Amino acid sequence: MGKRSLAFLFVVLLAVSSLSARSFGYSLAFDGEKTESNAFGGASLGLVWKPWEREWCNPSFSVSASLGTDMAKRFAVPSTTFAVNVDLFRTLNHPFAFVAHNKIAYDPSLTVGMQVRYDEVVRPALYLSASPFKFSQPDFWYEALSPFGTWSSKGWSWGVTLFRFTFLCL
Amino acid sequence: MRKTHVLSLLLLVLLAFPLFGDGLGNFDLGFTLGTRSHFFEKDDTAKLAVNYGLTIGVSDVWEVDVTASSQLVPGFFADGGLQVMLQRSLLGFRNSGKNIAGMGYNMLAGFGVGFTTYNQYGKFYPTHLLFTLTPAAVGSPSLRKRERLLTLTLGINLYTQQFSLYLDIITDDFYVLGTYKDHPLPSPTASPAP
Repeated sequence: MGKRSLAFLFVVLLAVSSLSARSFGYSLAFDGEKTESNAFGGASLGLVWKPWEREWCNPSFSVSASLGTDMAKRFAVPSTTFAVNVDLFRTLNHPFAFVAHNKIAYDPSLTVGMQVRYDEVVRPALYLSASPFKFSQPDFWYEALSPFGTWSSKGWSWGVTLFRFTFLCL
Repeated sequence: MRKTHVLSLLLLVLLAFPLFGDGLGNFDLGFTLGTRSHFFEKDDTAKLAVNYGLTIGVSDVWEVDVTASSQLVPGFFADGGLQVMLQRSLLGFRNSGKNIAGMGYNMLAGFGVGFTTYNQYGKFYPTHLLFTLTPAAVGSPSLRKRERLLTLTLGINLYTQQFSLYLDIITDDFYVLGTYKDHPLPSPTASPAP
């Protein structure tokens, strides 16, 4: 497939997306990570694509970059993550209705992906995460207290995403 | 002062709330969850911390926040502190205690005491005087939810003579008492016959 065909497909995809529910968005998260030899804290910025609206096992795709400071208080960009998120189920009948003014769905999710790490040597890593407290409205997701872990040639590291806000805008 | 003394003091403060009105939660009571960053405090090594606790409305404009902050990264709940803050709304009443909602947008300012181990003894003491300003609080107790944004708190460590700064980017308050559910509108009276 040539470059022109790819561009055409992309334009068609964007044009069609306006006819359906919003499926492209961006995210902001506050997170921290402990590695074997260091720790990072800061924010993650990401892009999200959610092509379907399935009630069970609904997938979405994301790419995000984390940035912040390390233990020596130096600015750092420790990683970029490419991930597939799967909402296990979506329900309006849940005990967490108090988290929002409007009706909000509860859809806990699991995430698996590949991470490119820039701390020490540049290397790939396996990324695993769970969002037990994920809530969604048609164009807004809200996640809290999501643990994650990564495995690379340097061993395991772990972290917590305290909050993640995702806005679907296209 | 040992940790048990601090907890006893807090219990006394909570028990004293009936003095403010008809009882604890007379105005409102909510749970708090938010981010916490602590700058310029050399003993605080947290790269990610969580702030959580209770927010207690004691009058139409005053509230008491009793919150703990815990380090999540690098050590999971390895370090933390406790804050007791008295805050006042600056842009009108926060909750009327009746079926009239408080202001949907407000600012808060206040002061309080912080308990940490950041002293030369490494004990859990009341170490910090705290002065706080919240430039934006969206929502209200009456609406069941409020989001406080960009709360800045100046901390003065009385033991180390050190200034530090707390930044809470976002704090969510989830109210369980004193909401519109507790203040239903009066049932409409029958209109007089023409």
